[in-house]
Amino acid sequence: MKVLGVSAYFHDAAAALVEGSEILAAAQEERFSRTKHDAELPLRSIRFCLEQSGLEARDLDAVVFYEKPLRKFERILVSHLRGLPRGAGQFTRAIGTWLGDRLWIRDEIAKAVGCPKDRVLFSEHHLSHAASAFFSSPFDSAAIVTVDGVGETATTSIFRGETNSSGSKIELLSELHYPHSIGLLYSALTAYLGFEVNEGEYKVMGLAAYGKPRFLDALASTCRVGSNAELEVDRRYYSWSRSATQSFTSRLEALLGPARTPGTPLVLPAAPGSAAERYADIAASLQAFTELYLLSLLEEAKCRTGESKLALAGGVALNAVANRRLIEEGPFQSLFVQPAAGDAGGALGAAQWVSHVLDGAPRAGGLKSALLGRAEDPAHVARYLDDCHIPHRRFDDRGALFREVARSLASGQVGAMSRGRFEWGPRALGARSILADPRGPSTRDRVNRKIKLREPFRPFAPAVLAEDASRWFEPVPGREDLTTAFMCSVAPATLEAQRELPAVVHVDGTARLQTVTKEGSADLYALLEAFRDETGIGVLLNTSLNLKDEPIAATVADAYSVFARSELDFLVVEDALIERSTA
Amino acid sequence: MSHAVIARLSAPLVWRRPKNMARKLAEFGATEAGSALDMLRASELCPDPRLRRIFLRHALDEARHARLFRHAADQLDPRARHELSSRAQSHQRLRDLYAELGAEAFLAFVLRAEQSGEGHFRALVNELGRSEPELATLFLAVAKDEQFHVAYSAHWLTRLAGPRRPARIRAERLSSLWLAWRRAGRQIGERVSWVLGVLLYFAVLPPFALMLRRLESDDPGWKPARSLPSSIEEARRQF
Ligand SMILES: [Fe+2]
Ligand SMILES: [Fe+2]
Ligand SMILES: [Fe+2]
Repeated sequence: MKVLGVSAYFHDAAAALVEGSEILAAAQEERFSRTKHDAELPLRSIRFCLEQSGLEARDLDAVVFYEKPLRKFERILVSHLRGLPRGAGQFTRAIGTWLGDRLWIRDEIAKAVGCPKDRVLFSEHHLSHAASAFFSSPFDSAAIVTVDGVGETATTSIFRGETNSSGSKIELLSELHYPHSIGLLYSALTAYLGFEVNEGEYKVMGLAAYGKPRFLDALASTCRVGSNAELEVDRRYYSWSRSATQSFTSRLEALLGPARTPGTPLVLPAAPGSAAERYADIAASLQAFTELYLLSLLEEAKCRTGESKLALAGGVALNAVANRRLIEEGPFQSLFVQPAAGDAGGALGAAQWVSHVLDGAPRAGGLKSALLGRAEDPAHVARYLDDCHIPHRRFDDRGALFREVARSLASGQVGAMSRGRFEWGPRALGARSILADPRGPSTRDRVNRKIKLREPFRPFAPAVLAEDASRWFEPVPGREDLTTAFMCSVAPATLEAQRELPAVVHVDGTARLQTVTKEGSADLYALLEAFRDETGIGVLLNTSLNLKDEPIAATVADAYSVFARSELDFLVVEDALIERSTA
Repeated sequence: MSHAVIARLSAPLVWRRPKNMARKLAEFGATEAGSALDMLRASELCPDPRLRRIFLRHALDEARHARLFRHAADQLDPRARHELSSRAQSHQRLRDLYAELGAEAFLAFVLRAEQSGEGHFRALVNELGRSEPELATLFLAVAKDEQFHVAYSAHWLTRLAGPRRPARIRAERLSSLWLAWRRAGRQIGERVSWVLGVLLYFAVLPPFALMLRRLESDDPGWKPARSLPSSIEEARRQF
């Protein structure tokens, strides 16, 4: 059965095409539309999925939307009704967008795809997250926990997934409902700290490393956690259920001090007694509160499922720092996180749910590589560079290209690589990455200078040959960590790494590593090998190929445009090498 | 002419207060970033090597303008860019204009947009020359780039369209009128739904609201297990 999954109209729109257990294509719309977090119906991603797999719309057996739109509409209506007569403006705006397109989603999707209306199906929001985590994991049976801002009404869910000879099933064991949401609490404090919601959460995580959790008790007084991980958000401090624009109240500011104005400078490490110190401490407290909550949630999930393995998804599962703590201190032996854990991932999960649960397709070992996006045709790339008179050298031999790149990196150059299919999920995993030598104290500043405009307190991540990982980063003894292949957790750097690779170690001594295997990314693996031949070190600094506030590059033109507007020393696109000195 | 009038009229409103200036500059930044994307996509799709080269250069010019405007906005008021309405940012979502229009109509569109841009920025140079010399210098530099964009698009339009050029330009005027009309239609649509929403809000909903408040609370506890859809039939339901 060929199933197209679609997510849209909330955060990150995406499409994914699944046949049986195989993921033929998956991409987030922002990569094509070049609008960050594009939430519109993902027309371009849908077209890409069909082209990539050589299918026509009529070949699709089902097209599945990642949630139940009417249930969500009901939640929005009800929460407005409860707030009456406050929030009239917000209500009328919401009605406008729903009457505009969202209530006719079946027709919209059928029209966009070009398929009959009765092929359009609807999953549930958290079920889609859960399916994406379970069916992408290698587990035959597992607890599945999904945690995000809010779906239709659920904010946190515990499922159990099982695959046996008679097929696959996912059972919902329990869920927490809106407005009680750890994800929305994290977002509210992201806004309080002056960052953009759904974008700044990473920054809060980076900021947390600079602070001390001295506001933990204060935060805990705004959100009660029950003995079995029930969560009760105090509405005197948080207003997301009453206002679309303001998620926290003046009472929260009375408790924690004034909120940070977006865009104002944040100098770190902060001077004692400064506002920056307070913000870092609040970030650290929020991070600690979230981790403690998730730990108690996992205990509850363990208790309800009796499983030893855990698959995790939902936006909160992108918190790499928390994930490490869950592996170390949580009750589960193994942890897997689906790389597109946010709402984009719902497109994949919805399709996998139809394929495995409703249609009974057998499974095949889980997600090995996140490179599911669009590749550029090397001939097109060559012609584009020629036509645009962009000086470059072409390499027929990949080994020779990577040797040259490894030498340039080892000599201190900072470059980018764009090859093959782009990544699924929010992280650059080497297919569209900026790379640098992780050694030397000045690398971090050099990279920051060349690509500019990034908050200097955000850490750079290392990509490491999987077989060398334990030399540089501490594994968790006795636990199976399946999150590092997709950069979904952090690990403490070894003493050697702290000494040798300062550019990729954050102030708290950890790194958000990506362990690279041949299966996961043949190109990055080969480049790391070439770099190790050159330097003895199989680690590279890896950050996404984009400038601030832009989606990660997809095409040759996107990649070149980043190169042209930055001071990167070189750019590899497919088998062409463009160098700053000659370009 | 109209640009000069608009610049004259808007000057006291927009170009006197830093906050408003920052907002305007942030809007310019968003517009330029949007055109940069249109041009970049055109450079990928266009098969003619010379045109694609010039489109790429154009894209990088617009991206530079975007950066300059955003930087200027940040200098005046760092909040301005964060407060830009989603509507002001939304036209950044490109519509693959080149793919939709084809080379000739696309060039006619570019020509018109660049003429308008150049006129606008030159009018601002005149208006702000004395009161805001730094901004005037910025606008002048940008206007010079726009002049080049006008020149090349005019040149290439003649070259590709030949005798059809006047017709292309007329059609472009019509289509931009049509676009403006459509935008107006959409705004009317939004108003209508707003009025409907308000009516619904105050006339129809209060009794339900009272009922709901009595029936249900925002219970923070775990909800009991429930069964999930298990057949294609059930999955067809939107609720
Ligand atoms: Fe979600
Ligand atoms: Fe411009
Ligand atoms: Fe221009």
